[in-house]
Amino acid sequence: MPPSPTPLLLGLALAASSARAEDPADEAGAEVVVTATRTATSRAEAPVAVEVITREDIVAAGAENLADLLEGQPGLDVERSYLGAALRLQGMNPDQVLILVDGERVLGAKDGVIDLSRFPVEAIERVEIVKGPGSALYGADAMGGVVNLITRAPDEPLRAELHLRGGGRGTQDASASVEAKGERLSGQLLAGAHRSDGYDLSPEDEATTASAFQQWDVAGQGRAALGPNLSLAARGSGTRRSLQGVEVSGGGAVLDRLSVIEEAQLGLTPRLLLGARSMLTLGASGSLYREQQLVDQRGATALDTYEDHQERLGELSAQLDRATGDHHLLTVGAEGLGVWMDSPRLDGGHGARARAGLFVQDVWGVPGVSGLSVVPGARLELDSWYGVVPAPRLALRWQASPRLTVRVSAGTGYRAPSFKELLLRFENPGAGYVVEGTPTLRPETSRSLQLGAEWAPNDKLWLSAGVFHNDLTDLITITTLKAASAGEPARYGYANVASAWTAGVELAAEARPADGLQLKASYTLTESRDESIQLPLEGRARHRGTAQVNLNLDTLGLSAQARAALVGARPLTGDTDGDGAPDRIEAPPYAALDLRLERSVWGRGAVALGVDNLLNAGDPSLLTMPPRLVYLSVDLTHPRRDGA
Amino acid sequence: MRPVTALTTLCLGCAPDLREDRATDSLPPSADTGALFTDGDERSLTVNATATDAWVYLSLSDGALLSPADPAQDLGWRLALQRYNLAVSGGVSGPAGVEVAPVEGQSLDEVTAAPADGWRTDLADADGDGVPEYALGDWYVYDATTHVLTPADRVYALCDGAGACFKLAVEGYYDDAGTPAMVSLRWAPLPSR
Repeated sequence: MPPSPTPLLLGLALAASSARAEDPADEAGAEVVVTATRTATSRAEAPVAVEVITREDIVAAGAENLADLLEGQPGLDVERSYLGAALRLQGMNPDQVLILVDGERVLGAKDGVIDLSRFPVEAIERVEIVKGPGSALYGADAMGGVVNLITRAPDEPLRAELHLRGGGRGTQDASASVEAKGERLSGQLLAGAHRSDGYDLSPEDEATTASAFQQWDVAGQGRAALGPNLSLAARGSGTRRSLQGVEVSGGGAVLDRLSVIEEAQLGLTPRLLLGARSMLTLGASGSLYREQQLVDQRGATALDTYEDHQERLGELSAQLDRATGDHHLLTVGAEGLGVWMDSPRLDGGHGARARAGLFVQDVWGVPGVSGLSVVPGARLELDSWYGVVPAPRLALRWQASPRLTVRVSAGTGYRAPSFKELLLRFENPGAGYVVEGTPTLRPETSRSLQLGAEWAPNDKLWLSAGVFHNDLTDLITITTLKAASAGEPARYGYANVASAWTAGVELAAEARPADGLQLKASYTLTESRDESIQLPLEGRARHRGTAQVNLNLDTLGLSAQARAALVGARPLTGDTDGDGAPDRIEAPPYAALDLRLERSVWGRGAVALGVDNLLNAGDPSLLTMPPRLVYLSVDLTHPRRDGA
Repeated sequence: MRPVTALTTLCLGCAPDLREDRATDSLPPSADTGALFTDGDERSLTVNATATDAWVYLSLSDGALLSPADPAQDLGWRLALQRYNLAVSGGVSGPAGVEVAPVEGQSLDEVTAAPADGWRTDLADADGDGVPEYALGDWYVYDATTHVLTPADRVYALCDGAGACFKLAVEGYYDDAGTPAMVSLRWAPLPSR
């Protein structure tokens, strides 16, 4: 390991030491994260708090996709709707949370929602979550936070894994992986297949609540050490997802809806050490997303439609990390991206955008103040639609004692108007109302203050507390350009007219009171207000709590997990009095409970029995979460795991 | 970047066109106008007004659908429909001098005479949106939440320039398959005003 004058340089040291920059733990066992600073750094020493869901957590949760995994995690709000499973952070909208895969943007947002169900967990090594604005490093859309899915990398000389799961509602999951790792070359191949019959929480009508689906995934990656100072990582993945659902229109038409989603990503990351104190990381990536959607009206053809949406993304990046003096780790970088969309719903059928960003950040270990680091950073971004947006952030981390860490950060974030908001041209075939995009939209912006502390009074207890406040301005909302009048339908558009704030408190605790027993609990208080109507933002529960018990009986080869989420009442909008005008309603509180029991077999794997949503929480209109699911899974690994 | 883009492009488009994968109903479009029902003087008809770029012209005296070569000059039609728009052959819409008066809170059967006042006809666009101010423009109630159109509880009296009068009720906007713009009408003659 190169000389490390201060702990702040751990990130560079780790990255420089090998091609394992993304490894989840360094050789001393410290948990490594990359999302806080865009450079591998110890989680404990990251200037902003990073929550990590590890591979071990993923397996223990028994989840098959990202939506199932994040549901019930502390401080995360997964909301399901016809758009899919969407993530809120700190009360912010899903389109204000940036979702990345290995640091790269993801295509295919619908109404700003990236459906978390699209991401099978078999390819995910860990999930890193940074709450609060991340635009100073990541640019547009990181207002409420950044969720970075770090894909699995080979870490064994040779290993093969097989995972099978079957359960109710026709749930079938299978995945397999093969990996090999040598001194200079390593690689991994993954493949998965998943299906489910979907579900219907209101069987009295023809409409389904969640579509049946079939999904196939393949992913591969390779890493090569091309010399003592040069490494190269390449990765690619492809997905095909088919969905079949039924909906009933307001006029009573029964519509069979079929979709096929195809995705492909390729990325290349050369990394070059420039001496002992500098590292240059380059990146080139491309993504494609295509969704075909066929709507077939039963008993007639008047409402039959076919749409073909395609999105393409190309991205180039360069980042230089340099340790200067004894107290600075400087990161400077540049990114450029192009996004293209073809969709019959866009005015002219096509949208394009180009964006370039420059960012700089200094991790400064303040001399003379033990344990204090100050991290100023800023990004300047130029977008072809709305021009230049600056995003500064100042973060402070103080290691007050070996067991107490305090973090404070203040910064700004912003969200770019989507192609839909800029260019939509939609006319409802039945009622005739029109929704038009507004090409002159500005980005939504936020100012945020985050304050948190982590305290580990002993090796068996860890506590954290945080408060946040986000001021949101220039929020883009649907506005009525012309109200419906006699013989004339309404015309709607988008405008930067709304403002809001979110604020809250997050508390979390983890305890290991006995060998093999782990307890986790969290509570989040979220307050919010839409300033234009002086009401809380829709869908945000004021109170949200989670609890988790992990029990490992190694001598018996048994482990058990219980995960519970208690979610308070949520304000929603609906027409309760039948007058055609929306009214505020309150969705009742609910509790969700998942149980899982696992037994290792022959040292080569495990058999698990689990129940998701044991209490069968759910409601066809107010809480469309999947009903109770009982499943059985088998995992096999070759060769035997160490210590098995 | 170029090889990357080329490779990813190759990966996409593997799925066939969904329309080839699944044939939709071979049923005729519900777009056919329903049969004309006659009950004494009263007639009822479901008109296919689904076309977004064409009007359907109706004679109220016999319930016939017409295809006038020049609707602005043709004296045969009294009512024209295009989706949720209902035009009368009067004012800016047609040459037959049709005027309309609403009768609130009565069923079609209860209306026995043309009202004394409230008469109006189709007028030129007054609010600058390029759409005329239709005399029958308030025939529906629009639910902004569900985007469903429901006929207003209202009967209209229509009288043309020659003195022939009718009472008209719009009874529905959706057919049994839920197709919008399948406009169900019921009408009968009224004594001249």
